Amino acid sequence: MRPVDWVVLCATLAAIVLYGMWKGRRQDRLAQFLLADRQMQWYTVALSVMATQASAITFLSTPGQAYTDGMRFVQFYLGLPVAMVILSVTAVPIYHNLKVFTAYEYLETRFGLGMRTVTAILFLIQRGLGTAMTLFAPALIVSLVLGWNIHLTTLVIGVLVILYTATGGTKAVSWTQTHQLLIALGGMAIAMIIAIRSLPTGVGFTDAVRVAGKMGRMNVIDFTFDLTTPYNFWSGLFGGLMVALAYFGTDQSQVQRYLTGETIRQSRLGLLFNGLVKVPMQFFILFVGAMVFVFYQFVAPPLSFNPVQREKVRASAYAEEFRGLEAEHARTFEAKRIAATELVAAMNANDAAAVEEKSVALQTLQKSYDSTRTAASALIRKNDPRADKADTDYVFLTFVMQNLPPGLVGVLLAAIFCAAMSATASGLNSLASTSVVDVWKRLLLPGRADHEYVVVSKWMTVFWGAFCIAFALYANQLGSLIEAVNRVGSFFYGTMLAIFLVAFYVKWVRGQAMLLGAIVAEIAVILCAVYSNMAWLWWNVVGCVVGVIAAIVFEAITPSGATGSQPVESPPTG
Amino acid sequence: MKRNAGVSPAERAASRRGPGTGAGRSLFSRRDASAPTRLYYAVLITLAVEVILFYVFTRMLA
Repeated sequence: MRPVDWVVLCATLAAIVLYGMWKGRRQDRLAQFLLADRQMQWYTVALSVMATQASAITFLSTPGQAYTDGMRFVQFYLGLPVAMVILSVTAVPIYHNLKVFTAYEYLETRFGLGMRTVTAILFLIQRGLGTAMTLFAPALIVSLVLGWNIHLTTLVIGVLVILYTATGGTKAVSWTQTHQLLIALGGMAIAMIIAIRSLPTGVGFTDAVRVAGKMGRMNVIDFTFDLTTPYNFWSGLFGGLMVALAYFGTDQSQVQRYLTGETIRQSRLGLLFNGLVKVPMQFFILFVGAMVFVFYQFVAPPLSFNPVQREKVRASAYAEEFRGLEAEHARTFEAKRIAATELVAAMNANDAAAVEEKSVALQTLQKSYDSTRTAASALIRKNDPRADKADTDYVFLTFVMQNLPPGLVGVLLAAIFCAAMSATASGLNSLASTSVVDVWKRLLLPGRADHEYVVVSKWMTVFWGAFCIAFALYANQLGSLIEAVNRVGSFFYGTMLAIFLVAFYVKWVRGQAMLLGAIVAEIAVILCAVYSNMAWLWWNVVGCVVGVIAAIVFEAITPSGATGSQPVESPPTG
Repeated sequence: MKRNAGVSPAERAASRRGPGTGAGRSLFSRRDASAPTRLYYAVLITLAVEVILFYVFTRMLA
């Protein structure tokens, strides 16, 4: 990194932190600190909701995914717009009218204190680990590619986030997120422009898109119904719908964002804007990855994008074997480069037969190229069993570091740091809210003055920040456990959604039946995960459907009055 | 205090129209006259158009 990049990076981060602290100054009421006094307009709600979901991993890994697997990942988001409409109709008015601080607070009015506490604690575990990963994953990638100290990188991001989140609360988080998201998207736009401009003379934007298409990277929609493939239209629409309903409707890190809306209308507009923009946004990020893929058809990429593992294997007993693979990789790349150039020439000459012939040749070479990469990856894992299975997370940052001019590298790194900070900030903010509102204020020390709870909220933010930093620092040693942590969310989302759906709509089902239903749903999800090849998106559908049906059945077979309290009427909507 | 204080003109108009009247109101707004029904449809129609465009895009470039 050049000095100018350091200046851009440090200035951006300092500006964001100071802006957050200034925006969130002088707050002494809990509603002010945790919900920004419910004064936010729809555009702040919208950008805050989007920035919460779009972590640094979105901007680092998604282009890499398009590089290796094409653009089909966009289908994961197809259920999201539908979820935004459903939540605008249902959850938003309920939460607003009850003036709740957290989603779990609502569950007490419906199923009693037990269910509220259980869901709140589940959230704290899941989001606590999730936020730690939000901090750890980008720190790891940035550290490996840039050779920085991972502990220092984690610590710097974590402390900066704690500074403005603990002092400024939700207002600071929401306002900084609007800027952070714009910086991150601006960075991606710059990367795409550079990728296209760096293509060899005679290869234009249209040619790049057509080459990507011929190489299978423009596979946006696949209508094949297959429960075992992770991303197709059906899993995206139904599984993605369940994930989005659960994430935006029951996860406090998102619920808190739209609870800040000035009115029901402002919150709804914020969510609906997200529904309109999210799919094109993900398409755009994946498209950047597809353009990086085309760029690397003409400029030689490394055999493995993970620089640390590359050097490790070069210095190991497998060095000779790896060098052989590198030579094979260089030969295949050169043949591929020539074939890609010929394909572009055939396209420009409108020679359909030649286009077909060159496409097949290029695809065959790509298969051979991919098998060399797979062999290299296996060798790396043989040398270090804890190494990542794939190097896709490192593709985009490698491209940025090797091809962007001084100054713009700083902008891109600032974009990645901003994304990491925005997602971490909402995580900490929601963890503090749930800890204070659902545990501290409700169970431990009720009835205290409002400003005391504000002080506790600030300390809770610091506590959760410290927890996430500590876990992220330790995460490096956890190896494959990281993957398990990443999957924690998928195990609980379906069940959580079932609990809220029953709470909203099946008014005669009571707390005990719902608790039993939730346990059955969880068992069903675990069985699917362990004993079937079902893609993970479908686990959410299973958890939700089984949870709702089981709760209804348990309520139906339970003798009247046996479950104690009478069912509580759901609050009116609208 | 004025009865409709704090209610936007759009919400008042929607309230006057009442639930279940007007295009599409019955699906989304039986109990909620202030719901931005047109925007709900806009989001869903946009999604449908995106899927169609993505499909055309996929087929055209394959």
